[in-house]
Amino acid sequence: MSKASKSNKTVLSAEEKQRKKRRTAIVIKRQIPFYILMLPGLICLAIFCYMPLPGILVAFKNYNWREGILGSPWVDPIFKNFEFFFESDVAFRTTFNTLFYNIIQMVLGPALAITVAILLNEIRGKVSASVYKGAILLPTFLSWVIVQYIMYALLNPGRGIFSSVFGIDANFYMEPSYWRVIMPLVYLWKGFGYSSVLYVAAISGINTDYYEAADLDGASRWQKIKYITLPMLKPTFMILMLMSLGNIFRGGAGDWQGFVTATNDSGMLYPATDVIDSYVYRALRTLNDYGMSAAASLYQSIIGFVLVLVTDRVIHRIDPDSSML
Amino acid sequence: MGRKHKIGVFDVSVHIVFILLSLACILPLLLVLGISLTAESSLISEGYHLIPREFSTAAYSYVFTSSSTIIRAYGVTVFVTVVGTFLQLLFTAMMAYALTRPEVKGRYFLSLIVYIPCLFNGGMVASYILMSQTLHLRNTIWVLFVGSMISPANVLIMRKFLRSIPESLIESARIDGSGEIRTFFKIVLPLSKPSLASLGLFTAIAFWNDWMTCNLYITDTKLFNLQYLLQSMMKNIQNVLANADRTQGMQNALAHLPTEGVRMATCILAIGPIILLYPMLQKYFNKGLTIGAVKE
Amino acid sequence: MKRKVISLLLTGVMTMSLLAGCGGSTETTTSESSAGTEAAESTAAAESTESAETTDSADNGDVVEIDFYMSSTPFNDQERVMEKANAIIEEEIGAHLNIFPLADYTTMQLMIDTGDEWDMCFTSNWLGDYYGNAQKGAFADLTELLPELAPETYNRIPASLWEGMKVDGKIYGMVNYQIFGSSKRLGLRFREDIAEEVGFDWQSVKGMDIFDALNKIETEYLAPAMEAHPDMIGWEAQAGSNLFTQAQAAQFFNSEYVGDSVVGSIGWINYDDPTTVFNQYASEDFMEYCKIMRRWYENGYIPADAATVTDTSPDRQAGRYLFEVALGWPDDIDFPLDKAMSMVTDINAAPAVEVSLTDLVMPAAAGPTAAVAVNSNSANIEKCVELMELLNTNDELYKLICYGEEGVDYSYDEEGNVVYTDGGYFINYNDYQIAQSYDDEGFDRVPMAQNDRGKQSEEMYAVIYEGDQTAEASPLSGFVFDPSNVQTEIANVTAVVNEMLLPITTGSVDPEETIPEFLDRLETAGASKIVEEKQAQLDAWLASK
Repeated sequence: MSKASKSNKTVLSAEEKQRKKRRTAIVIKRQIPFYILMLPGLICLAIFCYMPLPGILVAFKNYNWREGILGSPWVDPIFKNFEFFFESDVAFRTTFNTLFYNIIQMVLGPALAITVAILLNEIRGKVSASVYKGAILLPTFLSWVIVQYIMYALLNPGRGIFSSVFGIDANFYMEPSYWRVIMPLVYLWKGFGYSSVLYVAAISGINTDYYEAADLDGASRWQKIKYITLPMLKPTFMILMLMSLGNIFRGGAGDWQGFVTATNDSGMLYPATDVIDSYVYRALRTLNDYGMSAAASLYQSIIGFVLVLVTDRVIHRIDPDSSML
Repeated sequence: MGRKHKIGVFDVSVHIVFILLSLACILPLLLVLGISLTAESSLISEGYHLIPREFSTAAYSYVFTSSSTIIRAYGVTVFVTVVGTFLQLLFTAMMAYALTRPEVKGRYFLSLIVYIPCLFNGGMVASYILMSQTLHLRNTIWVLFVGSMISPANVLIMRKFLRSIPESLIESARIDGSGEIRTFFKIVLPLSKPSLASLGLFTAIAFWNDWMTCNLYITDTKLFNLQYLLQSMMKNIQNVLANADRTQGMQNALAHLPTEGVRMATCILAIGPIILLYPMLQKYFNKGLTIGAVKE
Repeated sequence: MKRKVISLLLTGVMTMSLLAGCGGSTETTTSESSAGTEAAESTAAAESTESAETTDSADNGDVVEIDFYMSSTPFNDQERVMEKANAIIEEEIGAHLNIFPLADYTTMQLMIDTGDEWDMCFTSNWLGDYYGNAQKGAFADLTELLPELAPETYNRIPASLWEGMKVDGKIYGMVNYQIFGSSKRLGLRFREDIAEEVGFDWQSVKGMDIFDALNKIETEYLAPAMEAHPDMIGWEAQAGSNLFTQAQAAQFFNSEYVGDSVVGSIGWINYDDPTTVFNQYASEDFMEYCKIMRRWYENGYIPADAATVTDTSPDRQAGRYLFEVALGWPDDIDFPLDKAMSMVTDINAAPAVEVSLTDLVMPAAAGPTAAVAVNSNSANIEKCVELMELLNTNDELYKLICYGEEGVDYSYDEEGNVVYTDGGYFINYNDYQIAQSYDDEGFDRVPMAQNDRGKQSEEMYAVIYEGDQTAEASPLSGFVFDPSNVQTEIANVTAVVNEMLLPITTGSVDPEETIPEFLDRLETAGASKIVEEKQAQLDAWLASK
């Protein structure tokens, strides 16, 4: 049967080919302006992201500066650089902590941010809304070092605000169990302002016609939120979720320095605060071993990548609008 | 219609919630400000307080006298932040828009290309070789922003935002004879101001806080940025403390480490003008930017 | 809109041209690096003959640019001072020196590891990985060049220091010998006023065994002093006075680190048995020390947050410590000199006295405590050595670079003390990274107070120099540890030590319970493999001697 259709096609060819050519010509021509728009971005990606990418090979190499990345000899056995993480006695602990904090973050982060964004949207006083937005954005501006100082000023036993003003005498930096709560709070505090503003931007992108129509139908505030705002926020929510999913094996979804600085890098807290990246940092900072750090990072990336690709395709099946790729 | 609502319990409680949230965000920063303005002796004897028990600006004058290039460094940082953010937003929006268009074939493949760098990178050695030896960007102002001219994550987020622009608008522009590129600049970009502003805010903060790039590639005093100067003081403290037993030179340095007040002053100076960014952008965050607003 | 498109295109073109501009150089780097597969020494030798030609051509009036990298925060007014300094350098040897301070020295390592362009850099065994980089062949072999081109630099200082610089019998760096000496005799520093107040005879601990001393101090000094001054802190157990994190402090236990001495290093030898490597954390000394710390912690001599507050500078600046480790010598019995506790600038606020406990030893790592290395790929290796000789012999030049101009950047007050000008040129006390501060015709290379105190210091430095000449050299002098076979183990051991050592050594946890757990985890991480590897390399080295 296929043969028949094939021959049929070849018979038709002359005219068909012509038309097909013209059609592809049109398709290509219509694409050209968009490729022009993409060009600067693609060039930057090619140079700054893809050109150094062969550096990943360092994970499998015994890197030395004379022979460079490509010329250096392969390690033997080939996964030797990966051994140091999996053989360490904290591989389970750090993996657990990493996932523990990331999952909390993935649940509470968007919940808080979306709530705040919607509430901000409900505030009618323009001035007060602006002030609130400005205030909740402040922690976003702070680097981890500043957060460390602030926390130390609060928690320091003796001179800290908690102890000198509120009389709480706990030695926070020595008791890991507190940090199962403190770390998520700090990350939420530092990040919710920014994600709220992202959701505010998404809300402001919603066509006001919807709300006007709903008002005509006499919809209540809650109904408008439930039937218009929330569904319209779904694509933004999904993409942010997928982004964090890709980084789920990275401490603090990639922003791991908080686990080192905010905790004063206190060894006694490690059972609760050590994540994969802080462990790798601590183990390798005096060694200058590029191979082992590249290996650890590659392991984190590959898991994240596979998770994202699979989840994204599943989402695409259910709701094409919400997929990321 | 919305105006008819009376101020009810709901509104009051929303305000209360936000006042508390805002305080939680503002107070810690005021604490840092307070400590930076407290005299050192008072810090040691009386601990940290929001309002200085003994007022002093010594910490700030220390930072300014110990680094004569700090004013210039502010200039470098502002320039890099403005130019870098502008270019990144532009390139990012252009790419994101093209990726939303059904005319473009192979969008899945293209977005995969964009996504891969979010997770995979070549590591320090490879990027250093690229910047320093392949592109020869060491000690140029370029190096401070060219590597961040496109943000893969922002492209993907922006793409979602752009989906909310009604297709009919773009269609009608096309019928009016507008080219695709013109449509992008004249219609799509103005409509995306809120999303550009929010992504731009974060991009700007990232440029503002970046000291690693400067540390790696800049040795020319004229091109030092603010964060590098301030961070280098902090790095120096760590280095001296960790190695003080190695040589007498380190011991001497130890005796002259900046005090806590100076470190807090450094924090305040580091945040500096970037905090004014929000008031500048804030009009874009207000809701109700409608299609009508574009046409006027 | 048109303008936007144009600016956009322009940026595109610029990026393209940047790309095009690099093709040639990449090729040269690859060809260079492919040639460099042979043993490091032969390349370095070839390199230096090559450079001889280039220097020849440079002598014909061209000024050779030399880039020198060091670890420091940026200097104020660097341009002004360097202009003056370069006038001297150009006239003397026809070179132009550019000094680049790096705030974070990992950048230097990255430059070395990518084969970037640099000529000279500060290196040491604690910052800049002297041994590692010398083994990799990144530093030029200076064994023959030194006596020839830098005779003063080479001959002025104790030969044992050069012995300590040797990696496979070759010298890869120029020692920055300092007036405060290289040999070590460790001691303790007490608050003079408080010792007097509680009637503690600090001189009596001289030469004592460390445990006897600590116990004696506890009953005769710490206990009464803490009672009289409850707001003071007994002992800085977490940082400066932590005998198991401070590299030199091993000497208190008559021991020394084998090879590396950074936090996390495993493997000591005892001077009484210098051929056996052992895990210091499994030793009885460690247990005994931690038990004392535990007692002090429970008595409140060590603060409750000691394990978590590693930045002790505020407490030191406030003069809150009762006693601490002193690394300098001679002590106040042999050579009384007014001094304050560490980090206290005002002598009267916290007057101190020092007394030493150990013998005088020249540690194996004394040489690379501060040194300057030359890039093995530099085109001007010989010029670099000549420059170091100039820096080491020209006092005016050295003082200019290290302290700036007299009268502008520093001056003498009415009492003859040295005063640094606020906001003037200042290299943050990093003079030890630049060159040797010693010179044999007196002490003209450092601005010295022009009064009795200054004279006293000079006399003391003379005693120290004498001591360096006579100090017994460590049995490990010249031994270099190659960690490449146990990198994985070192990484994991480092992580375990970083996690558990501070709580244990500050007495925050019960040592009898925690040390066995600590040792178990060290074992899992591969501690005994490291000790075995060090032992094997030490045996091989001893056999070859």
